[in-house]
Amino acid sequence: MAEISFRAVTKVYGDGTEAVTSLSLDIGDGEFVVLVGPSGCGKSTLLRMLAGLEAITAGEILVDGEVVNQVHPRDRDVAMVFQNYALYPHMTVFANIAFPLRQARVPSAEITKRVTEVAETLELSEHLKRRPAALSGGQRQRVAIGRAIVRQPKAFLLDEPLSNLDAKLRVQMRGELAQLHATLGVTTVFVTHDQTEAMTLGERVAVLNDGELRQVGTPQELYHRPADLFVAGFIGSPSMNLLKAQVRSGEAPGGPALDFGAAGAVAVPEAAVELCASAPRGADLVAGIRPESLLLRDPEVSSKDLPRARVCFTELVEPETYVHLAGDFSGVDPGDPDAPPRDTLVARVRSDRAFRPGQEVALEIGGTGLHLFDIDSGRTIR
Amino acid sequence: MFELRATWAKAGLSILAVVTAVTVVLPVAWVGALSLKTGREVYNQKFLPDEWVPGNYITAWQEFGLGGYFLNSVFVTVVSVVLTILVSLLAAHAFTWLRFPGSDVVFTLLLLGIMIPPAALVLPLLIEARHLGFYNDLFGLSLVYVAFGLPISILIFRGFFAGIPGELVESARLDGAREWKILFRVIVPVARPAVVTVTILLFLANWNDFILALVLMRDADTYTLPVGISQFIGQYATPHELIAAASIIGSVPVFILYLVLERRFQQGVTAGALKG
Repeated sequence: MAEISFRAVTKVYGDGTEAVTSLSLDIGDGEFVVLVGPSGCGKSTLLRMLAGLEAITAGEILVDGEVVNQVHPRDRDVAMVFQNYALYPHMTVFANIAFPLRQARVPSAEITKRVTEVAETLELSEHLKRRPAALSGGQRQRVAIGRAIVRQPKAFLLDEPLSNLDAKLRVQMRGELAQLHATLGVTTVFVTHDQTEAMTLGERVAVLNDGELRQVGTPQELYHRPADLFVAGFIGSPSMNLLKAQVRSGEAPGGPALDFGAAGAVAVPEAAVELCASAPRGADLVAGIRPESLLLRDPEVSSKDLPRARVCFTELVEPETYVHLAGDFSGVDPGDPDAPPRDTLVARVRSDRAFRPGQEVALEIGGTGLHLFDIDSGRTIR
Repeated sequence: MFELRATWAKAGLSILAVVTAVTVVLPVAWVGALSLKTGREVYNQKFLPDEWVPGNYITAWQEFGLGGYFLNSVFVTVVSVVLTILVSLLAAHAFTWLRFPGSDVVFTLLLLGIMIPPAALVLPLLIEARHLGFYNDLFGLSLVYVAFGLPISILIFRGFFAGIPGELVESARLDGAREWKILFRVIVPVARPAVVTVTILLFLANWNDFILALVLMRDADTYTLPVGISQFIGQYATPHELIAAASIIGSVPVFILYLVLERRFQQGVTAGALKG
C-alpha cells in the first residue's frame, strides 16, 4: 500500500499540447480515488505518468514519499489494468496471471499457490487452462484484474477498465471492484469518463477538465457543493439545470427571489435564503438547479407569477420520469466539451405523475438543490 | 441486375486466376518433364518424355556432386535467415516501441536498402569482401545476405508490430519484464505470422541467389546450389535434362518449407497488408 502525491505535475507533448497543467493531488494510503472528466481532460495521461508510461514535463510524482519521476515502470511496483484488458493472447489464463510473478522469479510452487488463490477470488478457477480468446468480456476483465492483484503491488491503476463491458456486466464488475478494494485495501486510482461510475466507486473523486484539477472531494461534496460551473454541470445525471438569472427581493416579505427575465421569477426555497443573501442583488449570475429540485406545478392552481414552461418530451427511468421542458430561459454552457449547451430544463419526478408533450407547467424550486455561480469566473457563490 | 454483374465479375476473376496459375505452373511442369527425358529427347517438341528416366536425379546428384552444394546452400541460408530474423526483430522492436531521437531518419535510411538491387553493388561488395576477409567464405556470404535481407524484414516486422496494441507492451513493462523478454515472450508469439512470412521470403531469396554467390565464392567446394548447377553448362555440350533434375532437387526444400508454413504465410501477408 502506498501514499501517492502529485506535486504541480505538468505534461506538455512534443507538439505543444498541454495535457496536464500544474496539477497537485494527494492520495492517502489505501484510498480509492477516481479521476473523472470528459475525453481529453488529461486523466489518463495523469495515470500513465504515475505508472511511468509517460514522461513528466514538470513537477514531481511521489510514491510513499519517494520521487519516482525517473523510476522505470517495472520498478514502481504499481499494477495497471487497461481498458482493452491487454491480456497476452497466446498464453493461458494461468500464464497470464502468473506472468508478473515469473518476471519477479518467484518460485514455481509459490506461483501456483498465488495464482490459484487469485483465480478462486475472481471465480476463474475453471478457466485457468483457457486462452483469453475463449473467455467472455467480463472474464477477460477479471483475468486482467487477477494479473494486477497477484503481485500484491503498492497501488492499482485502473484506466477505464469497465468501458468495454455491456451495461449489466459493468454494474456487476463495479460491485466486484468495490468489494475487492474493501478486502485488499490497496491504494487504487481509477480513471473514467463516466460520472456515475466515479460517484459509485470513489471514496474521493477528482474532477479534471482541460488538464486542470477542478475539484476533489467525496461524491457527496461534489454533488452538493460543486466548486464551479463545470463540476456542477458534469456531476449528476441528469445534469444540473444552469440558467442565467438575477437575485432580487421576492414577493414574500424579506424573502429573495430568482428572476429569470422573460420567463418570470420564483421564490427561493428556505434552504437557499442565506445563500441568496450573499449574492449581489440585481447582477447577472448563473442559477444551478438540480433536476430533483425543480418542482412542476399545475398552472391552473398555482400563482400566476410563477415561471411557465412547456413539456417537450419525457424519459421513463423507473421509478422516476425525466421531464424535458422548454421556456423563456437562457441556458449556460458549463464548459464540458462532451455536453452541448442546453436551453431546455430537466425535472426529475416520480414516474406515477403523467406529463404529455406540449403540456404547460408552472415551475418552483424546492429542497437543497439550488446553487449560484459567478457568471464570469464560474466559481460557486457561497 | 446487380447479381448478374457479380456473376460475370466472378467468372472473369476465375478465368484470370486460372490463366495466372497456368502461367506460373507451366514452366515448372516443363522443367519437371524435361528432368525425366533422355539427352536425345531434350530438343523434341513433345511435352512428356517417350522414355521416362528417373535415374537423371541420381546421375545429377552423384556426377555433379550436388550433395556438397546442397550442404553449402543449407548452411548459408539457415545462418543468414536466422541472423536476419534475430537482428530485424530487435530493430523493429526498437523502431516501434523504443522511439529515440532521429529514429525516423534512421528508419528511412534503412529503407533505401530495399531500393538498391544487389546486382548494382556487386563490384564494391567484392572489393569490400576481399578487404574484410570474407571473400570465398560461406559465413561471409551469409553476412552479405543478412545485410540485404534486413531492410525488408524490418519493414515487415515494424508494419506488423504497429498493429499490436501498445498496451500489451506497456502491460508487460509494468509486470516487470525487460525489453528482450517483452519482445520474445510477448511480441514474437503474437507476430508469428509475420515471422513465418519473413522466413519464407528470406529463405526463397537466399536459397535461390545466384549473382552474389557467384561473385563472392571462388572455390568449387564453397559453391551454393545455383552456382554449382550453373557449372553443368559445358562449352560444347550441356546436359539440360540433368540441369532440370538438379533444379527440381534444388527447389524441394523451398516447396517443403512453403507447404509446411503455407497457412501462416497467407495469414502473415494479409495481416501485414491490413495493419502495416
